[in-house]
Amino acid sequence: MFITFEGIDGSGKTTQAELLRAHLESSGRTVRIAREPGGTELGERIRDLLLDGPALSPQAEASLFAAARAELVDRVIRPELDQGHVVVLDRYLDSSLAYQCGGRGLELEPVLAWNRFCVGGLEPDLTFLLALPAEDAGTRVDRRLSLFRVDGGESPPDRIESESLEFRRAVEEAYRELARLFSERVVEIDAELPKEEIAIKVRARVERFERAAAIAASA
Amino acid sequence: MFVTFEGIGGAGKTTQASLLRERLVDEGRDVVLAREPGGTPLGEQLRTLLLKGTRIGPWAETALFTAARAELVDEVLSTALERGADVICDRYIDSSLAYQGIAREIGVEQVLTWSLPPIRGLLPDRTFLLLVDAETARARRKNPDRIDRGDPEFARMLDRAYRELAARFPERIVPIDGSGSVETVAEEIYGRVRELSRAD
Repeated sequence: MFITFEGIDGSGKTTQAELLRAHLESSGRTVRIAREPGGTELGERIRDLLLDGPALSPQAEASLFAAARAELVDRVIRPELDQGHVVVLDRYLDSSLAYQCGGRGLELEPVLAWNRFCVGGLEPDLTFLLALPAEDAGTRVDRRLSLFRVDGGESPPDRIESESLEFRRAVEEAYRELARLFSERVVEIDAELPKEEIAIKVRARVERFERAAAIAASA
Repeated sequence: MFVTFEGIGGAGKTTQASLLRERLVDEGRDVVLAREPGGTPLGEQLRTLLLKGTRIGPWAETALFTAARAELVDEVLSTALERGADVICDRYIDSSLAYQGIAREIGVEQVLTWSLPPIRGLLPDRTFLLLVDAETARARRKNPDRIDRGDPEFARMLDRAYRELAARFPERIVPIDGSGSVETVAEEIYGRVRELSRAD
């Protein structure tokens, strides 16, 4: 089973991915969690380039994300799935579509085609989109960063997190569009709900998916 | 005018690209010479990663080369072409078609289809494919990098891949016998470029 979490920065993806992992592990599943871009040696280097490097053209940025993703699929996701493990990803293909297309204005079709090509067509079974108005995400990120600073001078916001409010709104809108486009796998959840409540919704949907998969397998 | 040089490592691309640049500059033309991957800050970083890095899967490799190329097109090539300069590139999309498309078996059509949009469909007017046998190339090559591997069997496979591309795109790719002296090869290329600029 391959599950991804999507949403703009500050929407709670990382927290929910961890909560789901803990839940699945407590029921005896082997879970591999990874983040994008990253999760492989190449991916981490690309992550550094993307987050702290020079400003890039949208096309180059999209290709770099795709490269990191291709490597993650090759080295981590497919081998884990082949062993019957659960893979939980903090960001995947939809991030490219939302950020590069919605945020930076690239056309959806070529970016989608390019990404599908790079990952050999591997799509998640379920994608949880944690959706909230862009203004809220802004305050959450700001709060987190100021906490970091109080805690001991953590690094300033990176290039992607410091994008403008307008950019984040465009991304949020693109995510909603993707949820409509890929309604068979994208589950939209209100990110403003308490995190326990979100976790319960996520678990319920995962269990429903597993039951359906079990029925399909026995048929 | 946009021309590119292709061929296996040691075929003489870099030498011939800079000789052509000199000839054109001597004529008073505005010439931009670039190499791939590289030519931009991102490109140079990716070059290091690609040529000296760890083992990378074929798809990631294709995407990285494409990222470097997209940045080069955006930052350097399109502006140069727009102001009317001649652009010479040491490796371009045919390297991806030969290395990843054929040698690493992703498929020429696949690589072509998906890696054209990031470079806005920009293809060269002419591509000079320098053909030398694998032994000559190896003898010329000082430091085989990860992409070339310094492996004669891989070099032969690439050579076949490039010839296949030349047969597939006969109007754009001009095969040149690269085994002659540097001057002879340069003269032939210059002649072809003159024909091309007269046709403009």
